[in-house]
Amino acid sequence: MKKKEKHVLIAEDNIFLGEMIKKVLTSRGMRVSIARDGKEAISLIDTAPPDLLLLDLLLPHVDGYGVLQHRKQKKLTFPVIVCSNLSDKTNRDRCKEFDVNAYVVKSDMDDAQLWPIMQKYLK
Amino acid sequence: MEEGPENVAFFVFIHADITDRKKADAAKTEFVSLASHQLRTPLTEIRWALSSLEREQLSKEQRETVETAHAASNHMAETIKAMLTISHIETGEVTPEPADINILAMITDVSRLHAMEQKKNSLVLDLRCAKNILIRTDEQLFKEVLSNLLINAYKYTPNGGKVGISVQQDNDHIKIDISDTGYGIPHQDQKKIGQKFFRASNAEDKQQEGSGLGLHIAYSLIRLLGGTLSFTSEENKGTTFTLLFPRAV
Repeated sequence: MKKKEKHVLIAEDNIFLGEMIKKVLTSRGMRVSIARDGKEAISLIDTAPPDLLLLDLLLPHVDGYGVLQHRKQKKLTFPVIVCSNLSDKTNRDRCKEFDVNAYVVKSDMDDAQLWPIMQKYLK
Repeated sequence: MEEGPENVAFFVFIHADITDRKKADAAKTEFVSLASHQLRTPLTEIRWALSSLEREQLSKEQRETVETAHAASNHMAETIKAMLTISHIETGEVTPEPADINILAMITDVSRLHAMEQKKNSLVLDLRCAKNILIRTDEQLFKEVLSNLLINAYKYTPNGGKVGISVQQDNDHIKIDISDTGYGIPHQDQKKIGQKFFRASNAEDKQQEGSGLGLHIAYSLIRLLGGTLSFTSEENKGTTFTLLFPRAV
């Protein structure tokens, strides 16, 4: 029987980067959706919660924290990996309060670094 | 002459207004912080684009070009990360959160993180540490110090050399030596080690990439954690960095 594809939602307003990550994850057998802002991410989550969310923090309309707040209010438990170029302690600590599973700095990572972290939460 | 107030003939008061200097420092730090964040966005795109290219069918020459560009982007990411770390330290945003940490586990984690660099240069890592030594410190910050020292040891030790990490404790202190059989630091450069952006002259000669920020970060963080960092070095023989840290109570 064919294994069910894992659904990854990427909330990323940088179109090029979103597409790059999508291309890589699709080649790894993932089903990938992209939300260009926090509002769209919330709408997609409400339609079908993903198996994993890759979340940027600086998003238009509703920021990453708005998305995390929504996940908390709805008591959703899918794993979240924050991918942000903000690396300060304040943001990291704030994300911990929302039970974020991992926090990676976008410019420090590429596919080779991100994939092992994703695998950990896609089991 | 005996010391005491009765022997004081006069006082000299030195007063300098450092408000402007403080303002300038804060502005500089804020600039570094903002500029680093701005640099990170395009750098992220470059790195993912290069990763994507690396997966394509490329000629040998094309692959080498992409790999060189990728290595340069890694170096740039490291430099930005280091600049931000310094900026966070200088603005007082780094607050240690101490806990009792097993040193061996911590060193093992850090050495695993840099196993690729060790393998690339065919270096032997000689780790000597008892299993049960605890240190009361901030784990992430201490790992950052160890990482910077280990990266330097790997970077400035020629192929086939040896890097050693040894941990000793007495009643008062825990001492960690990170030694290498590398190029060493020329005598005339030793006073400047730990200064921001300073790189030893022979590091430049060996064409080793580096920002000159790693040791500055190590010194700044270890001060913040309440320890000291010192070194001995001899050119063409090697260097030993020594971390001295109060023992866990």
